Amino acid sequence: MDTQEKEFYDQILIVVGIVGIILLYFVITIIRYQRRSLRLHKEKIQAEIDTLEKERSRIASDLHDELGALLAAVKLQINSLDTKDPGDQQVIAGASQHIDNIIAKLREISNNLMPNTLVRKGLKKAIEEFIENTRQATGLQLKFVCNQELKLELQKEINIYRIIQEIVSNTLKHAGASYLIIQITVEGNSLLLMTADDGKGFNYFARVKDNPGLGLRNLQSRAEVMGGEMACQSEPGKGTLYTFEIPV
Amino acid sequence: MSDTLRFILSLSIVFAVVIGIVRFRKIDRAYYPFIYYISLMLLVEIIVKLLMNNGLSNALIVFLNLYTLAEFSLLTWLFHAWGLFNRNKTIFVSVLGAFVVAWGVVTLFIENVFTPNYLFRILYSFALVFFSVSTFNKMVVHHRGRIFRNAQFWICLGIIIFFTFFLLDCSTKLTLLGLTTSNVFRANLHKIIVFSNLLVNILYAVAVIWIPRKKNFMTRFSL
Repeated sequence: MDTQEKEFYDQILIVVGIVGIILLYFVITIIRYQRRSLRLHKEKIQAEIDTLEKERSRIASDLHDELGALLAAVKLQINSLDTKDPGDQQVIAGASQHIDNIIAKLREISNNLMPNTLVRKGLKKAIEEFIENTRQATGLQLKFVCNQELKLELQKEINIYRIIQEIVSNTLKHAGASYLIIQITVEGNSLLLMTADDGKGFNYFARVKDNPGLGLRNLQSRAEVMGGEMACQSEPGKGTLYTFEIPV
Repeated sequence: MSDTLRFILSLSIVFAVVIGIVRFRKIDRAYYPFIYYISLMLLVEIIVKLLMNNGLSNALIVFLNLYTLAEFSLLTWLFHAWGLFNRNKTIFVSVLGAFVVAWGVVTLFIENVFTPNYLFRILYSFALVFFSVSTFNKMVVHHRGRIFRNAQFWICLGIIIFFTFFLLDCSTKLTLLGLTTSNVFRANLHKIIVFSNLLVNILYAVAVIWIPRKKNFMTRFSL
């Protein structure tokens, strides 16, 4: 290389070096920003979910323990009325039946808000109970497959339970499906939750782009706070498949 | 730096290709264009070496001109599979069509098929860097896991680094076109691309490791 070429080559090397430094700076700042943003996002969702669950738990407890007890006391008092009039007896029997219905409904609402089975007997039993109740109430053919014992933190159990509730609710409201299958398997350090329905499906990417809706956002948020990943495969006419991979 | 050493360094893409072939059946289909791309890179490195050894310089230039089009097409297909063009096939085909026309105009009319199509290389390098930056930004906003475990991150980073230096290289060569420069100068200039290529090949190998699995858990039970 002559002197002119050497000078030119040095200039090129300087440009390459500057571009390299800018690229490095760009990447480092982006990574730092992404990490901070991710942490803040997770903290925010966690706080929202915690508040929601606490409130649900409080309402469930108030409904079950206070209103339930009050209604039981009212029923006891009504039944203690001593009357010989057949008309009055019929009114008392009717009122008692109404109170029984209200107590049953309250228990159902309270159970939906915070299932006792989930807290006392764990996730697997709670899902089985929820599936059975939904099957009886709606007529949707539901199948739950889980051949392993699930031992998770209560917070994760609640989140997984809510995810299943949301998917079943979406299937009933929007999918027009006759069949829904839910499977949970634990492989190594991951819990895989998979659901599939034979409903009308939807264009997932178009839905997410336009307006993902509260249900889909809820699923995504709960997967995120558990450090997991959610995937949805759905096309019009081909049903909907959800997969969640959650670290345990 | 000898030609043999340069060739050996360029073969560093073989790590990514081997990992890609081993994982091919298990990975997400959206990454298939990337596996095709790195396999093509390996093939091109070998063919280029063979053409150079046999002194077929004209064939080498024609081959590299054709390769630029194949490279752009595969990477654009990759970005389309990642949802860059809003998964709109019409936009993807239009972009691809526009660049095929640009390639034809630059390679056949502005320059000739036996001259390196530097103008097209500059144009498509810009486009690929823009595609990568857009995908990179989208990923930073939407990705909720560890970014280092995201294959898109490594691939976009690799494309940004390589094509930025490739842009500088092509711009310099275009400036020097028609001027007489020594072989040492040209060899030194080529070193920049050789080293950036080596770095990017390593990034691609890391990327292939982190390509996500297919989401086909449903095959374990049927409706």
